[in-house]
Amino acid sequence: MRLNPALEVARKDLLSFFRSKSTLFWTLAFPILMMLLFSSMFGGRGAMFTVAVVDRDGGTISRAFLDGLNSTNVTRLISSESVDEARSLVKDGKADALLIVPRGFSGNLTSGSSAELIIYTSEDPQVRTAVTNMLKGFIDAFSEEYRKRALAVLEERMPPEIQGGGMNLTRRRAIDYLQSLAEPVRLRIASVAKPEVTSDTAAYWKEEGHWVTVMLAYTLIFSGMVGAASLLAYEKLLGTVKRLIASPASRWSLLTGKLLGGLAILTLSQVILVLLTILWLRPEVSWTPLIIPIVVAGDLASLGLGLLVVELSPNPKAASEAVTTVGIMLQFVSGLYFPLSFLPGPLRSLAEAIPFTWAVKALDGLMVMGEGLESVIAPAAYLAVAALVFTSLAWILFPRWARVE
Amino acid sequence: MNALEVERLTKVYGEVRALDSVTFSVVEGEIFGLLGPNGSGKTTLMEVVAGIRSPTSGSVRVFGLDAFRRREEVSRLIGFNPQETMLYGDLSGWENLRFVAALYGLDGREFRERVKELSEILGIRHFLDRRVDRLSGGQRRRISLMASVLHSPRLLILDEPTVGLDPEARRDFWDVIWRLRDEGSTILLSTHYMEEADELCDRVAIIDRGRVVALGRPEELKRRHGGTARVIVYPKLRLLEEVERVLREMGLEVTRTGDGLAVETGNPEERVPRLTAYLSSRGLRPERIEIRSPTLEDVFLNLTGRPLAEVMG
Repeated sequence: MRLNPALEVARKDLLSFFRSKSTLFWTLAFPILMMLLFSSMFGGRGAMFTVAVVDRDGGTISRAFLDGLNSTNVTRLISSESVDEARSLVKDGKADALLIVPRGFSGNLTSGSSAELIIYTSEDPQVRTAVTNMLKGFIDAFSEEYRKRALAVLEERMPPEIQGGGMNLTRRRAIDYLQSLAEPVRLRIASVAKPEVTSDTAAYWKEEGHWVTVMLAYTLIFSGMVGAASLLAYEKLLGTVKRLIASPASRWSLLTGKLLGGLAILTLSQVILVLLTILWLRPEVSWTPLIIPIVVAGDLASLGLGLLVVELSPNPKAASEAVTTVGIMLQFVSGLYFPLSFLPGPLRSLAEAIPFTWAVKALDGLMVMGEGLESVIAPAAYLAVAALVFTSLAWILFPRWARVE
Repeated sequence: MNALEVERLTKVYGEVRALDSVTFSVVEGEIFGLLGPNGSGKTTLMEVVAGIRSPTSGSVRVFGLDAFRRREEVSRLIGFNPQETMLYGDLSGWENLRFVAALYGLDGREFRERVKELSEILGIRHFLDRRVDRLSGGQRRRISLMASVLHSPRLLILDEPTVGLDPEARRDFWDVIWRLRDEGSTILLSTHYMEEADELCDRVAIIDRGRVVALGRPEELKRRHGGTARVIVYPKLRLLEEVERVLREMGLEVTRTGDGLAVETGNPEERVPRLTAYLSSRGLRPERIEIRSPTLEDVFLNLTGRPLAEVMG
């Protein structure tokens, strides 16, 4: 087999790719738009709630509390001089809630009394629940931190043994006792299975490292299949397949050219998309060369599947419809947009059998969860087998497809 | 030497015999036409010769080589230009040519010189850098033809090369085909334009329903199967019936052709003055008189029993 015709086919397909506006949109612009949309909806950049704050205390602890709240990335605080002004901000929809830090907040905490905060929320029940839960969560975390520090100070100042009133306690025991009074019941939540990357859809999207997976996996699942299918189908649509077959180039070199062209287009798209994701979200991900076998095997599996669908379809139009449908379906069941745990039982079992689901899991495992070689071997092997099966079948069926009958 | 030898070539699709034991040969250096209506099997025949379709039975030899067993060698001898322009619309003419040339192992200086030479012949130099989907149909056809002849094929197969072109563009294209023949190519072309086959081809095979029904030089076919010449008299419409009656009085066999009355004759030059004189003597002066020599259309009608226009729908 002469390699030159294969390289020329790849080169020509690459040239066509960069000149097709619709292909460029679906391959590059669409995933970027998805990233911008979902990361601005759920992502950590930019606050989700605006809270008007009236700090009547003005003490060191109240300032530390508000600074902490402001740095959570889920709130944006607006300082107000008066309650009336803050209330009108909520009424006008410019703020979701009003938080009042009463006079004596810092003093109460340092003197051993409990301190109080007052929250007024918007009338929208969804906003009320969300903002209340968010503030409660922050207050819990703040209280726990405060309690830890107060007990540490107390432990330092306490004598080694405390006696009297019928009690005889060591310092450590006394501190534990005080801890139990402050928090009589502690809830610890753990999963029986290996934890998913995240536990809910919003968090899934908020996990910025997952976006790198999305960019790589979207390309290998959707762009790979649809791209390979259109690279082949349009030769028949244009009638150019006749010129290819009439030429001395072997049919094998033509298919190899299609695979090489597809692989070059996918790799280039993946590099561009990952670079844009890094620039936009600055995600903290683990970069490891182990990503390469997953991506390359995934790309080849997707390209092979795309070619196969075209070869099995009765005509280019049917091929295009089939490959788009399968490509969209695979995006939604492969864990790309939401965790597999969201899928109903049978669909989840089906999803777990799909090689691309393994690619998503492996990429998340490597880049987001910092896993190592052991988490790559099985998915890489499975993807490689899928790539081999799909491309071999595409190879076998190609002469039959290429024949004009 | 024969450039092409087709022997008992048959192609069957289910119940349909697209080609039925087709046999003919094309002599090196000639322009050979396949003439027939759409669906007669011309395209199937050309695609089998070009190696795009496989036959059910029969053999094809190109310059003595078996076209199916020695496909790669034969494909270098053949340039195939199908009905579709077979170009990538999002690439420029130059990029399309470069791609096709590479499939035939032609590149570098050799490619550039060949493009220069052919673009002069085909008159396409000024639009080679433009994207193909922004070119006119005629311009695309020229680039497609150029792509088919880049590798200097000895046998050029052109399937309906002028379909869709206006008469002027069609004549320009004929000039190109003659020039390519003069350059040394043997040309096998299909057409359903009778005048094109008549004007352009050295020899013609008339194909109908997958069979060759006649083969020979156009003049020879017309002489053998075209029937006699016809004189067509066009009287004033209100006098049509009276003139018809008078012509029958002269012992002539008359058939109506629209507004005219056709009289078959072996010697039209002699017949016309006599007709005019007789009609004048009866006070009937025709509006005009036409002499029609037999055409390949008549050949098709006489051989198949159907007018070509009817078959073309």
